[in-house]
Amino acid sequence: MTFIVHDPRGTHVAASPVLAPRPATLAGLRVGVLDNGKEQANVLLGRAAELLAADGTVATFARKPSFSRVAPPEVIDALSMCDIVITGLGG
Amino acid sequence: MSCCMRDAVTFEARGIPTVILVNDVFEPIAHATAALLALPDGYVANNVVWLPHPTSNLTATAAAALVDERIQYVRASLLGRAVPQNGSARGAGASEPPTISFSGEPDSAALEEARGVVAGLAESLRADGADLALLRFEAGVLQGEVRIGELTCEDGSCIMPTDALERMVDAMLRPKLNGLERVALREVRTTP
Repeated sequence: MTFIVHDPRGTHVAASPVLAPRPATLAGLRVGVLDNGKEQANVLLGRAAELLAADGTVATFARKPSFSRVAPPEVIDALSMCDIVITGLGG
Repeated sequence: MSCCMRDAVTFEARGIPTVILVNDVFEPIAHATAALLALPDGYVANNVVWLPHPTSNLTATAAAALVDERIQYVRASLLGRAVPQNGSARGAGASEPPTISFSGEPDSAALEEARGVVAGLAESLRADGADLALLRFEAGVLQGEVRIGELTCEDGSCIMPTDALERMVDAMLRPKLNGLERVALREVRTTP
């Protein structure tokens, strides 16, 4: 009988997440704005969206229920219709 | 910050370029989270736009002015043409501290050096009303406390979950602290 013994030592190297390709221009893009709920996040991100509108973007806003948790799937899904996202913030 | 970056990675995986705006006090957490998520080198530099901390006490006019000054960085990041940002001088992770040797003695100099490595992370936590204290390093276990002074949300979960902090501290120290086997943080909560 043959036994295969696996050596449990070693390190695990996580695969690096793939980043999205960047657009050539912002004109005409839908920008998702994800507010993490911290104080002033809506003000600061709102201003960024306002300025990006000058580039021809159209904003969709969403807010996380808690800044210490990842966004729930429904929030991620709601902004996934967008072409680009800005998020943050505050403190 | 940590959760913002996780959200950003989720959008990136869906093919949506994402830029994070965040206060510079969270720069140590940004670098630690990027390392934890195995994000490519330069992810933080290319995809995070820094604001001077604090921003919570700004008037609407001052907040708008801060964004006005930095919108060029937001645009550049979204287009994949990020440029170095002025005012982000913290540079966590920019210079690698030497490997910390463990003498085998409790409360050794290694513990003090470990505290230095996580000092920036502790500062980030203090900005959220918490603190991180490393108390003991014995038999390969680095023990500490996450001290949460004032709860800032209903369920008290506003501070990064303790198990996530353990992984973050572990990731920051394991390459540097010889003999580290485990990070064990105890959550200490006091109600206001």
